[in-house]
Amino acid sequence: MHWIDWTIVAAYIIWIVWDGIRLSRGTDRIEGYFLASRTLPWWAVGLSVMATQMSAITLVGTTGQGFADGIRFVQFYFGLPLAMVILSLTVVPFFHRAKVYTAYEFLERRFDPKTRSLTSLLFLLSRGMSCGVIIAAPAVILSVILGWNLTLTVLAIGVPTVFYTMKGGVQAVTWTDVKQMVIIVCGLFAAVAVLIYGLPDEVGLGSAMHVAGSVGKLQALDFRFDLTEQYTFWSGMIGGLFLMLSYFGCDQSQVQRYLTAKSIDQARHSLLMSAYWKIPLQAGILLTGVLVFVFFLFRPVPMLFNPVDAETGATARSAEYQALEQEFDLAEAARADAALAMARSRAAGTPDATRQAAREAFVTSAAAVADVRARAGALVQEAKGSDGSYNDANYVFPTFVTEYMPVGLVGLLIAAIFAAAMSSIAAELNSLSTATVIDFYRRYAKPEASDAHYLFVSKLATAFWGAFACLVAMFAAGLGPLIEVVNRFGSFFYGSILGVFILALGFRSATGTGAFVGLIGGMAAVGLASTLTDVAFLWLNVVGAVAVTVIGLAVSAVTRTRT
Amino acid sequence: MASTDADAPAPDAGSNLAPAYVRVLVVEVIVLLALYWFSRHFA
Repeated sequence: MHWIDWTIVAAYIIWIVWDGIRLSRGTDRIEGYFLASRTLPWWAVGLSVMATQMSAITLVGTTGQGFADGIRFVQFYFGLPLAMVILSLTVVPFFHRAKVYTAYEFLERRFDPKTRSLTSLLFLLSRGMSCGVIIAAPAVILSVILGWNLTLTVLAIGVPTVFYTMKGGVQAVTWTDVKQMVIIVCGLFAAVAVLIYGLPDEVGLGSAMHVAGSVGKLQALDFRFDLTEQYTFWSGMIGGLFLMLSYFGCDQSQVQRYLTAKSIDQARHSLLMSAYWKIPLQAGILLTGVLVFVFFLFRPVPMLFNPVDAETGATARSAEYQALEQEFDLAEAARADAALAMARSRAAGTPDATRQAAREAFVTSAAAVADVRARAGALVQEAKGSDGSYNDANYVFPTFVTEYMPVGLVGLLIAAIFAAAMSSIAAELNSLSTATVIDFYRRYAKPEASDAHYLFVSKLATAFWGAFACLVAMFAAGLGPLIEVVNRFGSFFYGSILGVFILALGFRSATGTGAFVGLIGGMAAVGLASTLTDVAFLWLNVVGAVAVTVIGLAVSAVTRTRT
Repeated sequence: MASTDADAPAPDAGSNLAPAYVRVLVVEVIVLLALYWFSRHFA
């Protein structure tokens, strides 16, 4: 990386830490530290909500997904707008009027301490682990692509974030989120500009889209009702609705964002910002990945983008890997010719039959390249055995950034990846600290203490969770499959926690014992559904929420009868 | 602890975000239709 890019990345980190500390005013009281004294405007909260949801792996992984699989992942977000409307009408006024610090605090008022403690504990366990993964995922990719030391990369992301979050509390988190969101969007626009500018003269943007579309990369909607298919219109609309209701309505890392808003309506507007912008933004990121696909049709690309995996294949299965590389070079050259021929035939307005023949030639050649790449991937996975996960698509966008972006913009894009990671981590650390102090320390250990004392403990809790996340990141980085385990762990209880809130807000007859037993039963139901069936994970959120509601109501009816 | 009426929030008087909610859902339908057109056009 050029020294100018290094300077930009270093300047970004120094500026964001300085800014976070500068914005720590008003954090000498616990309400200021955790809720910014409920004074923040809707647009800042809305941007913070979006920045929290978009981690570095969203940015890098989603562009990779666009490259490999097209834009159909956008269906994952289809339930989000309706979820935001439902939450604005239901939980937002409840939480704001109840003057709670955490979503789980509300459950004690409605049910009992054990339901509050269990849901909060589940949040702490899963978010603590996922915070580590959020640091680990970009750290692994950046260390591989840029040749940085992995431990130093983890610390470069983690330590500055812990520092400004600890010092400035939610004020620092929100206002730095706003700026980081701007950096991310600017970085994406810069990448798109370079991608379009870098297309061959004969290939305009329209032709590029037709080329990508011919191999299904622009197929956004899949209306099949197949419960085993990960991303369909229905899994996004229904499963995604339940997931988004749970994530934005019951997960402290998001609830805390809109608890800082000036009023109930400002909180609602902050959620509606995501409702308007999330799908277009995700579609834009996926389309960036599709543009990378088209861009790389006309450039020499490696067979595998992860250089460590390529090295593993080349070392462990040298002869087979070399043969595949030769086959790949030929297939890739044929695909480039076919893509150019297809674009030219469209531009020249040739007869339909000629255009169709050019299109079919490109589709065949693209399938040949994909086939060689898949065989190379299988070979590497065999060579690695059970030692690590395999996801070459995550390395596509960083490869494009480091090899094809001009000096200066490389630094901006790396800063954007840092920004995406840091904005999510900061919000999570802040919410982990809040749940630890409010739901456990103040509730069980020291109910009556001064604000200064709680503030001191809150900063210690932030530092603790930061250190925990960095340790998990270093551990997870060496154990690839752990990342997937942690991601799946979240889907085990998201729907179930939503079920508890449905009982709390929707059914006056629900009791604390009913909610508690329902929560355990719901998680067991999700565990059974995921091990005994092939149901796609989005549907597990529906299973969890429905199971908790049904079991909770049944147990409530029984316990009420007994008392 | 059972729920009490005191826990329930008062009706949200003074707030009329109904048009905003409708707008959100209308925009989503437009975005979905645009994605559908996009998929078909470049298929």
